[in-house]
Amino acid sequence: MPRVLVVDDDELNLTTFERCFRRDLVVHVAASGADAIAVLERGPIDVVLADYSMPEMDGLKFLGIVKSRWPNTGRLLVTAYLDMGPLDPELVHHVVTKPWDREDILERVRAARISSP
Amino acid sequence: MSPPSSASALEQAWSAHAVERERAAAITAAWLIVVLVPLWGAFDRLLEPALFERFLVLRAADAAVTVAALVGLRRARSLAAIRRWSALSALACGWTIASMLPQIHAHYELYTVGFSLVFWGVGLLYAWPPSRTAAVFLLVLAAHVGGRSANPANASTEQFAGSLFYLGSAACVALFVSSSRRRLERAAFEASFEREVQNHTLESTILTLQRTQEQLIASEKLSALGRLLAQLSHEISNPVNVLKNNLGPLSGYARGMAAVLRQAKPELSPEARRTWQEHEIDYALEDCEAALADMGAAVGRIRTVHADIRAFMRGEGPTRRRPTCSTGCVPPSPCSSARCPRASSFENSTPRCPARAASPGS
Repeated sequence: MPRVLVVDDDELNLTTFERCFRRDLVVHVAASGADAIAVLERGPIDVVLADYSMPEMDGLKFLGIVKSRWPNTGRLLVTAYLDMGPLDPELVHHVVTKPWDREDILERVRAARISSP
Repeated sequence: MSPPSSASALEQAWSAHAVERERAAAITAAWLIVVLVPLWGAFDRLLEPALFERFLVLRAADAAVTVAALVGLRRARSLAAIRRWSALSALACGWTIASMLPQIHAHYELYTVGFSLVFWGVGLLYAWPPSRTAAVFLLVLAAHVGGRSANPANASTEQFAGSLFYLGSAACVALFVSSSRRRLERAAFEASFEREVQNHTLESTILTLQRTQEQLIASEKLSALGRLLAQLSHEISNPVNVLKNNLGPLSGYARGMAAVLRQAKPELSPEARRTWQEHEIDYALEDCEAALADMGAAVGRIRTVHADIRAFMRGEGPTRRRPTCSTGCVPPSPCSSARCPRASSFENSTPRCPARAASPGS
């Protein structure tokens, strides 16, 4: 099963994600960018899903760190904002809009896993 | 209305103004003549009774011409026509007196003064161009000279020279008064016109300012509404996400637990059966799925509102669909109240909805 790390400062979103995908994905969660980096340092992760709006380190900044340190990891940005403007496709493989759809997430995770070099 | 700012607009306005102004002046002068003719007739009878009847004919002819001029003045549409009628009226008056003066025996000087009223009247009432005024005066004076030539015996050369000098002086002064009056009227009109242009510009500016202010207020309101909706949309995203995506697992849990409970029911102890009854577990097992479906429909409605808010922020219209009566509703289900008799259920007898676009939940 793909190993996925979800980063969101809203704990309800993390528990919801775990509950939804516990049978399809190996789900790791982190409440901040710093915690997420610690998780990444502990072991390999196939895809990260980072919430855009987080205090201290936002999703884009976190994905930038992931890209530079773990370039093989797929990177998805989760956001409630509709218009994120043009994003670097090398940095963000896909943007997922909240409220997300279970099947869509699974498809994106699969795609991000394949597309990441 | 466009602002009357150019020089041609000024000239157009001046012409239109001149038509009415000169018509009013000419009509006033003509009425004065009509009113004064009987008085002058009485004057003739008093001063020159021997000439009264002859003078009456001349004065009646003058009055007739003046009345005709009055009618013409009222009907005239152009400035040239008005000037023709007013000049005719003044000339008729001048010619009448010029014809009478050479016949006077005793009161030559008095009639000369009366004659001068033609010049004073023209000078005071009309604001003709100086050339036109001068032409009218010259014609009247020519009639005077012509009359003298026709009747050289009645007045002495000194009397005639005096009257010519006096009338010529009156003509010069009247010409000056007339042209000054014309200049002053033109200056006053230009000032008034300029003020009107300025007022018009000011009104336009105020109107533009008011419109801009209204647009600014509307834009500010829309901007505030946009900010509020953006915030609202962002804030409800996480709760909606949690509600929507927990309903799936929760339904799965409920189905699993219901299957286990139904399987275990026959083997329950009496005490467990009592507890089962107390908590209406049979009903709860049936209603649980319906309640979850209700919640799903409710979350669906919130998502529709959320989608509409997002559409508004993108500048789109709200999501309009063609719903059926059951859109967002649960199919006929067992009664959800514990107070209802067991196995009672709702029957949906709602007639078919008319085909009308609407937002589900509205």
